[in-house]
Amino acid sequence: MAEPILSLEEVCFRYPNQSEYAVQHVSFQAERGEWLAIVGHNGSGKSTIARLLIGLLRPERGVIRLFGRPLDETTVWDVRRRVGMVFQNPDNQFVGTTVEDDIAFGLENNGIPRDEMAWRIDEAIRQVHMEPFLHHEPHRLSGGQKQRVAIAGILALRPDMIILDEATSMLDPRGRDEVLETVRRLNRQHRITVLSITHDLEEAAKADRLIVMNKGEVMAEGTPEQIFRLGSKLERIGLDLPFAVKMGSRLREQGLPLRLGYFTMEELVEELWTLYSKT
Amino acid sequence: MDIVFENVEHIYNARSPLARRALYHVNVTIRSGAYVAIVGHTGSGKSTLLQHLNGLLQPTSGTVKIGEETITSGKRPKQLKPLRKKVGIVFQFPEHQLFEETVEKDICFGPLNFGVPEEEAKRKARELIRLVGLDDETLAKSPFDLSGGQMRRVAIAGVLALEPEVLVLDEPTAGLDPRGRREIMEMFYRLHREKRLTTVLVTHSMEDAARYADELIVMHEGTVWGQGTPEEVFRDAERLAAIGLSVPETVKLKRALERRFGVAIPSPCLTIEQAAEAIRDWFSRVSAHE
Repeated sequence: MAEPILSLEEVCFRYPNQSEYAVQHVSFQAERGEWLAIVGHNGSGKSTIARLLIGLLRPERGVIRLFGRPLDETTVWDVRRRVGMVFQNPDNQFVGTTVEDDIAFGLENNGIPRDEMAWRIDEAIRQVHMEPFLHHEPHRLSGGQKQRVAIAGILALRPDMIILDEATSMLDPRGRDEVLETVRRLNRQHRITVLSITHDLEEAAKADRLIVMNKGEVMAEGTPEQIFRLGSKLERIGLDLPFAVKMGSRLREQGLPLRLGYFTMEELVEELWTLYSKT
Repeated sequence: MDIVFENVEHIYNARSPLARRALYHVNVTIRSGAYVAIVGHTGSGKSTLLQHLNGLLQPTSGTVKIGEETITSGKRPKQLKPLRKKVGIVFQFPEHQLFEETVEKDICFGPLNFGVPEEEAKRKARELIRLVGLDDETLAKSPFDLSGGQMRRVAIAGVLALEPEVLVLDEPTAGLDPRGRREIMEMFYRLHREKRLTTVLVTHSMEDAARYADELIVMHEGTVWGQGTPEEVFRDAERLAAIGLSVPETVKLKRALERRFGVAIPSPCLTIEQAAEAIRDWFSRVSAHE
């Protein structure tokens, strides 16, 4: 196995004045270029993990390694430069009065020379397909457009990893698709490692691998296929299964002898067709 | 209390260079006691429409009748106070509006403002906290020590405390996890029936629109694009797709099966329960015909 870009070993954390752990004995790894989704209901500890990863919170026990080095006071600034985070609320992450200024802000903070800034902004805005909006005011954009600008601001800094912390949960379906399509392209074409933290299993289905969190612990880990096979176990911890999986199990309950193991609507239709052809 | 929009137009920043027409030619009737879902894209005018329901916005032209009250351009806000009590709006992320030291004070804030005696307001708060699925101990807590889902329930209790006849819900489940979404939607449906409310739900979820609403209003580019029962509206999947809206997953599956098998499924398949039964019956029929 390749050197992991990220690893957690037995990480435990609790918030001040709380007796219960928000995250306990959590261990997992991510490889370079992988899209890893961390799923769980609200309060399962998944967002706490995101905050631990960029050093906003410090683990009580355990080790977090990023880019081959343990995360501590000496490495945290380098980590924050290399890891970009997109937050849930698109309105809470803008400082510039135009899209261009907003992207420039991060570059300026990182001491990028002026002439280089210009073409980095240009390149970043093209990667998220927002060129026509360069001189627009960020707050006048749609939710999906805002999140794409936030991603452009991160891309301009040439990150090794993007963390999406519930970044699509406040968007309408069209905005959500726009953002996920952008992330997919960056992940595939530029091999940027993606860590998406979500309770939306349709979003998680797009990942290479899933980590399921429940009550601060890792409950399961695997490919989307392996995870969706858990079926009602996921529903019991407050998650929703992809539609085809849910519908398939309803139809089985209704007495149709369908096999397990389809995740899209097309696969479900074919499964019914196969069953029909056999009778 | 019927709600009737007659030829409503709304222009933001009218008579200025920034003037923007957000609504035009809106003619809609929402019957008393109905559960109506308003669907449409961001920017389709649904939020502007919603703010006319209790006079937060007034039409630039046309009239909005809410029961006995008529709202026209230029009506002074003071006259709208009785209306604000009858129409409760749960805005997006209502928990952002919590501000009091305790949950009890927050729920009582509205009733006290409308002159309800303190004892009566407190009694109401106790009743409502249970109704929204929280326990009595929550009343003494600070709203800011609660989880996001609990805070939202408290905010909803605050709206219900004014005993509205019309409940307007603007994306009430945004940001909640799947279980939280289901619980909140079921709670509103229960309230709708038990309190005989008129409910207006603004949503992006075609699944919720299909499951709960008696009627759908489809907004597009500032006007009413279509109106009908969920069955009627979702029959037009192609036309909906042309304006960038989808149909529920169950309806997509019904259509995909009909295409693959060449045999119609005689059910609108509006909910997963309904679709599962209809597909089973249909499947045994097509299989038996072989």
